[in-house]
Amino acid sequence: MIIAMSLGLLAGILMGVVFDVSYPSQFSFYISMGLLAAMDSLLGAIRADMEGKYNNLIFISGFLANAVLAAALVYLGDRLGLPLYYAVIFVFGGRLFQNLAVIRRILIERYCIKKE
Amino acid sequence: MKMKAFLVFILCFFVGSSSIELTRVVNGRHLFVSPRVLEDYKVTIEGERQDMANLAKLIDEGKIELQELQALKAADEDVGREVEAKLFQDLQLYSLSGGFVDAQGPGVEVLIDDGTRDLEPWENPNDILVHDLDLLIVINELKAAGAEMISVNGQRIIDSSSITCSGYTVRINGRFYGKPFRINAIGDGSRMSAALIGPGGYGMDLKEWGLFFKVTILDDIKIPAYTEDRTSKYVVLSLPTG
Repeated sequence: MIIAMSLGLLAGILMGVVFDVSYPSQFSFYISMGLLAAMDSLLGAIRADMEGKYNNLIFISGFLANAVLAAALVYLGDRLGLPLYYAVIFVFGGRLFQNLAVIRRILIERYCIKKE
Repeated sequence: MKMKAFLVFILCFFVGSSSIELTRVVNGRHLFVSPRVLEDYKVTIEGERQDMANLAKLIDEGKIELQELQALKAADEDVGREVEAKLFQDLQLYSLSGGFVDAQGPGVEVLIDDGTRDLEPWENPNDILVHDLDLLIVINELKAAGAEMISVNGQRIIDSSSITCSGYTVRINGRFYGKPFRINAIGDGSRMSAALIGPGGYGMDLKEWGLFFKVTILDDIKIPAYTEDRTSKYVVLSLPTG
């Protein structure tokens, strides 16, 4: 799990640095929101795995559904003139911290607190 | 087990690569552009387009002039007379816009006079008199609505004309005039009238204050030439350098 994670991150960063992939700049916003959804799904997957509740299908579907909803909210907000993207930022950002807290707690309980 | 690792790998790959690419593309700019910024840019772009169109027009006109003169030279006709005729044409244009000759055309006549209503106890008699500022604002609104030539009480307004208050009279182009004030403007009559009398127009404001303000759209307005002294003491022709 950890190997897959670090390898993936390394490979991604390397590819980003080496290759100059260009896309229309008006999509940058949507990709940013997709990035946020991906980070949230990632931490969610790590937490589920640590709690022993990991499920492949839930992972994939969660990521795709969140990314689609995030993009839809951004687009809708653009049309309506409302900053609906704030909802995406707040929720995903909040979940990042939540999941991180749970992961941290499990890690500490597992490795640091000695058996009583 | 394998599936999980693979999925996590893919996701981390996406996170890593898109973070780098986004950083490169966005470069710290704010992704969400407010509508006001968009509007400002739209206005700026429109202004630039207008400038470009004007320049293109100037270029075309210059080309046509050049062609005409070259054709004259090539035809080897009595070039002198043709050029002279063209110069007289130009002279006519310049004397008209410079205020050296009388002009006429359709437009509006604006009559402004002091108000005659009773004053409230706290009001100053000055409040219902016509001031130089009123005339200047009306002239400005006429120009904004496309007025091509303006005269006030028979005095042609040129670029160095001034209108100043002097007690109960107004000094226009150095001469004193009393009420009522008659402003003649050549241009699109209905447009200028709407600019003054329509909602938000200065004419409505003056009327509400109680002054007399009347706009008439006429087909034949005569605007006299500028007859005051024009000798310049400071300005010299600016020649292109280099």
